[in-house]
Amino acid sequence: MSQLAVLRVDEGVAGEKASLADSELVAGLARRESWAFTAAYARYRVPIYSFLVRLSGRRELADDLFQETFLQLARHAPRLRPDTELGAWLYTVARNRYRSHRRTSLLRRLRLQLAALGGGDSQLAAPPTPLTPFEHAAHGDLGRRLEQALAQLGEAQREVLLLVGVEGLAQEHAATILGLTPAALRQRLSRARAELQDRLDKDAAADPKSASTAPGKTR
Amino acid sequence: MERDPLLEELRQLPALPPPRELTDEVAHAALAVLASAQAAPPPIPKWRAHLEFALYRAALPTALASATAIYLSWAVSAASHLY
Repeated sequence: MSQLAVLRVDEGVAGEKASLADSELVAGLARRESWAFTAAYARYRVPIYSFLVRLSGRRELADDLFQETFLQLARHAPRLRPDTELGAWLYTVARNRYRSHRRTSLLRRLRLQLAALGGGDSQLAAPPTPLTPFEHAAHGDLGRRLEQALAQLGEAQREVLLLVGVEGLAQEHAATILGLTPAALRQRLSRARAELQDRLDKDAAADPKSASTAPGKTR
Repeated sequence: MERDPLLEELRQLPALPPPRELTDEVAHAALAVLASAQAAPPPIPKWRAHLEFALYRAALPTALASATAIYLSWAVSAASHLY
């Protein structure tokens, strides 16, 4: 049977098993059952891809990291422990891949900047463009402003807001993914939230037309 | 727990699905990797882990240290007999 046919059969089986708990998917993955991978992929591909696009700010980079994350799941599947939290595991791998990529690209950029010293190549420091203009338009004004404010935050603040705010993860899971204690996570979340609100307020002050759609100011 | 309106707004941001082509490509590649992934090695029994620990962390180093000490003392005494 071709691989495409296997995938179609698995999608059918995975659809039937869509309501299975993550622990059952982990058990299936540990036995290298393809339906378990297909079900896990169906459940987590959109959240993981959204997380990576917003974390990295670049679609093409998110594509690569997304692929690496799920290949890592397939490679590591037989060694998954029965108590593995599948969602947290995937977010952790995705985040680590992004950090590793960022480290190497920072080093490369540093080398390029050193090589171009005196050349004044301003392209090297270009900020990321998180979403296309079409996506901005599709999100509406508030969504656009939130996306822009998120993209301007520091990485540590952005990732905590992405996990707890956008992806809606429980704080203890987000703490595990970020390698923080629950207390440290709460503190970082509170600072990130305040920073985001601050940026939204500044944006609203600069463009009063959008102030009517400003999100709540509870601190 | 008190609901945070800003976090609620963030939660409303739309999901960004991967392109269909990428979705299929990753699924195919990952299923191929899964099929060839090595099964986990069988777990080592506890008694064997303890035995290996005792052998490699205690018995073997002690034997090596004793052999070295015996050889050195013999070498020193042999050398002192020469003069």
